[in-house]
Amino acid sequence: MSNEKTGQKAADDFRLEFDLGVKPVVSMARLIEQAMGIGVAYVDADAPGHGMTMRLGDRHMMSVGCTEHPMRLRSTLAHELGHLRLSSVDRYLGHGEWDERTPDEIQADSFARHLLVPLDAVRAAARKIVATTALLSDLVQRYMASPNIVAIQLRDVQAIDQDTFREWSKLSSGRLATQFGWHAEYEALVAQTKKPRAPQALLARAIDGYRWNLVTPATIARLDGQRDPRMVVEQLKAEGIVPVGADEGAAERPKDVGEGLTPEEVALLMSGTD
Amino acid sequence: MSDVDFQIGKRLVAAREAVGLSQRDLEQYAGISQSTIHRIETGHRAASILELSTLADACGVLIADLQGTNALAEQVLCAGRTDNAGSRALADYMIYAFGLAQRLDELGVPEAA
Repeated sequence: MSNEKTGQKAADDFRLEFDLGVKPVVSMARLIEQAMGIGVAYVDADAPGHGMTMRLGDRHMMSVGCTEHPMRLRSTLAHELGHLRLSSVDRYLGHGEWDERTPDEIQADSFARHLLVPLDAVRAAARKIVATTALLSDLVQRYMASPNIVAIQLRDVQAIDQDTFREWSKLSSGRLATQFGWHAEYEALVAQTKKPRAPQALLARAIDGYRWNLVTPATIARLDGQRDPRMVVEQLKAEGIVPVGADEGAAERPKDVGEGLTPEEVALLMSGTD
Repeated sequence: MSDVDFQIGKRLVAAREAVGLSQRDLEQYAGISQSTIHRIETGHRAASILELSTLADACGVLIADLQGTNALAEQVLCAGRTDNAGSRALADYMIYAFGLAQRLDELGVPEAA
């Protein structure tokens, strides 16, 4: 089976297993967290749109660089999910060959494209209306995938020819959103993917630990991609989350009066202990 | 001044500055005086394990991060759509998060049901 077909089959199997039909994936991060039980982080780094899946024992995690290109971020997460489903999370960190175009990478790309934009959905859409840039825009908006990914799928169901594919692949999501009147919706997606995001379950655990005085504000700040622990304290306090005991007045520290305990005080301290 | 103390001091400065804390702020969070923090950071005073643990917690890192003994990077397996430069920050974040998950296990903070 070709790498393309391997990726496609894995994506189709995933959609079947999680009963997704041909519906758009609303949030890749939440889908991965809920379906696979794997935390997803958006990391504020000099690597916008880059992605990585990591395994430590039987724990997995995914991260992606914050980016102002939301379709790129979704595609990267779908690609990482492809690695996971195709069991290709298997290289040591220091291998130094990230750029290599291996069969695993081609399969993960194919998985991502078919997961984000199922061919059956594209075929059905192209059957109803003529394939113009309005259809491209509609599919990009509905499936939240890049024009390039949608154009590949339209070409592969023979709704457009190779020249049209080349032309449409050059269009940006922002351009289509502006031209076809869904710019506000697109900006909301941009705002989401520009901001750091901690793996949701791990952050919830850390906040639980904070409530029990086991985790410091700096830990939560670091995990959540924030810079200032004081802001974390304020944000949590505003939502009524404070460490146990922090809202109770502390007892006044006893003053040293330079005298020993009275017999009554000794008796009180020792009572019941013999 | 030993090289080990000097390296620990450098890591403490990096950890403190990463969350925007001054030495005075750290004094408040860790309960260790600013002058002691200054001497640890400059490698002029060895920190005890207890002090390191407190300082690590206050900066939101693990004690192994300050000691330079975090070995998770050699244990993890990975895959990715990235390059050598881009992989660094993503890997650093996830190694930190894995370490935190292990720490929460040790502290008995349960995973959400």
